[in-house]
Amino acid sequence: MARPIKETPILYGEDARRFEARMQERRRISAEERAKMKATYEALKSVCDFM
Amino acid sequence: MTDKEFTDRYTIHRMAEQEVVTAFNCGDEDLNGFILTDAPLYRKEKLAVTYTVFEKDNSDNVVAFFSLSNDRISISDFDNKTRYNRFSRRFNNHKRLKSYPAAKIGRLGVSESMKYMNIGSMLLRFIKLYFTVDNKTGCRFITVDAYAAAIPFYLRNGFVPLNDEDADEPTRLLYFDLNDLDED
Repeated sequence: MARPIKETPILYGEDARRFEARMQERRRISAEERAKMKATYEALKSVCDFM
Repeated sequence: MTDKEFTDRYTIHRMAEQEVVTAFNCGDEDLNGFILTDAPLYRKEKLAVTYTVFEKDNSDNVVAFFSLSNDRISISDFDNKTRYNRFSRRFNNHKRLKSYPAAKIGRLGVSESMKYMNIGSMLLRFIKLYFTVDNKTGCRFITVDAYAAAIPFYLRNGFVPLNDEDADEPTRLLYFDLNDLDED
């Protein structure tokens, strides 16, 4: 048996505050990166046998 | 590897319940053990679904895989677990938790023969948009239980550590905020 997949822990205290603050931050990938991601997604989706 | 080279050569396949992979080597015994032995058990118990990438003209040649589960990131009003547990025991119905839906990459491996060809990053891009564009339910984050050696790879792909508690463990929990993909 491989190592079990670790459960995601509940965040407390400073970890929770840091996480929530980061959630509110506005980070955006560039239009170029978004286009690249979308192109890869559509290409890979076309060879999925389940979609 | 370009998108076209990938689509010309490979299929992405969702493993069925009884399906097994008989050969795979990514150079890590534990990851190999997962795909060769554990993946069908996780599937049977509905804990994770594993997807394989195999050659179109030879489905036995699995070059990569990833497994996905439902997850959540929960944050508590309390400063530590002990205080939270004490409160929960006294007030059963007051969870004092906020939870955000997530999807977890339990394991992701690329065969040794295909290393350094960008397949891992392509699969991460696919997973991020799979849970943004074609998701059936709400999902804000992608989490991953990353092997220590793979942490730089995930950081390069926009993931960040959830906290520092597992910094020295064999695997570390990282997350990616799917809101980062929103257009302005």
